[in-house]
Amino acid sequence: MSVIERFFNRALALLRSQRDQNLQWQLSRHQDAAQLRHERALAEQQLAAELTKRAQQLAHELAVVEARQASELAMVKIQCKQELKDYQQYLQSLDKLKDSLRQSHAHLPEAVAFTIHHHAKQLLNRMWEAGDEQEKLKVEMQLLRFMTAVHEDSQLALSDAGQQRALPEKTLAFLDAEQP
Amino acid sequence: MAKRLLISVMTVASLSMLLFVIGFVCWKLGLGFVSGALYWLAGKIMLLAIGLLVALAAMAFLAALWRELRGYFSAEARTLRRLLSLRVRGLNAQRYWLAQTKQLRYWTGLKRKAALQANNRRHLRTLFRAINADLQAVKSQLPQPDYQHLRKALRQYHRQADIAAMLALREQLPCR
Repeated sequence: MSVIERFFNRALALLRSQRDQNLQWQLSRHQDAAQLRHERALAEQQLAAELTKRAQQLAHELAVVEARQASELAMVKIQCKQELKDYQQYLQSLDKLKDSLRQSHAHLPEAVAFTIHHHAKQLLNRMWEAGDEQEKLKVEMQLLRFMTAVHEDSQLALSDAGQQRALPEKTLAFLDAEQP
Repeated sequence: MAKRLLISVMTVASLSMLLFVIGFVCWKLGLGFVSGALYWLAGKIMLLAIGLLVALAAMAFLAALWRELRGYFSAEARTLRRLLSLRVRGLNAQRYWLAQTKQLRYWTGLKRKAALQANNRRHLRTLFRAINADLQAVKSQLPQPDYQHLRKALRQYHRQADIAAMLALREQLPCR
């Protein structure tokens, strides 16, 4: 047997022994590998199921939130409309108050009537724009007291038919007290 | 598998290079015909090796593409994408709702201010007419330049909607 042949035979033997070892190792680990593959497949299935469940849950939650937001938006729309309507009604009632004051005090100068009306409007705006609920309530009470004073003056002037009052005294006293 | 294929291709390329070397040795030994034949064969084999390498690269690319596509369209990835899109949709819905509410409140505020301005204008016009009438009534008591000045000032204050100035002007008039 020549040297080259012997060398090739040894190389082949080494290669075969390596492959045998490899095969033996694979055979010894076959069960573990199969179990690992099985566990991995199970974990993947479980993860997919979990994700699907979570997606369904989220879709449901989203539908609920969207429905709630739509109803809240409708509520806000109604609220805004009502607020605007209330404000316009307040303005109209202040106009009526001014008219009644002018009717009850025939010689009341326009400047005084305007000042009273303007003050009432300022109070109304302060009440509307107050961010704090407490402050809003306070200004609302102030406005109510002011409107009551104007109304009382009108009533008083109409009842004193013989000696008609020239000026709404209570209202003007209120205005004086309000001045800083 | 890919490794084995690569090793095979590299072996073919090595064989080609070996043939080139043998061809060179033959040429040095003066075997021109053998050298030419070996060079021809080595060239073809090298071409084959390059072709195989290109095919291998194409196969690797296609395999990677297939793997990526399978990953992209797998159940997990699809569900994850759906989850993410639902989250984004939720966030967008929240933002849209907030913006709509803000817009509604803004428009209501604008309408309220418009109503107030209309009311202010109406009453300011009434005040202007009343003061103007008072001014006309005392026209004879005032020097002409003063009257003209007061009239002009009243118009200006009315244009500027300066209530305080209009009331102060009313206070200046002699008939009170």
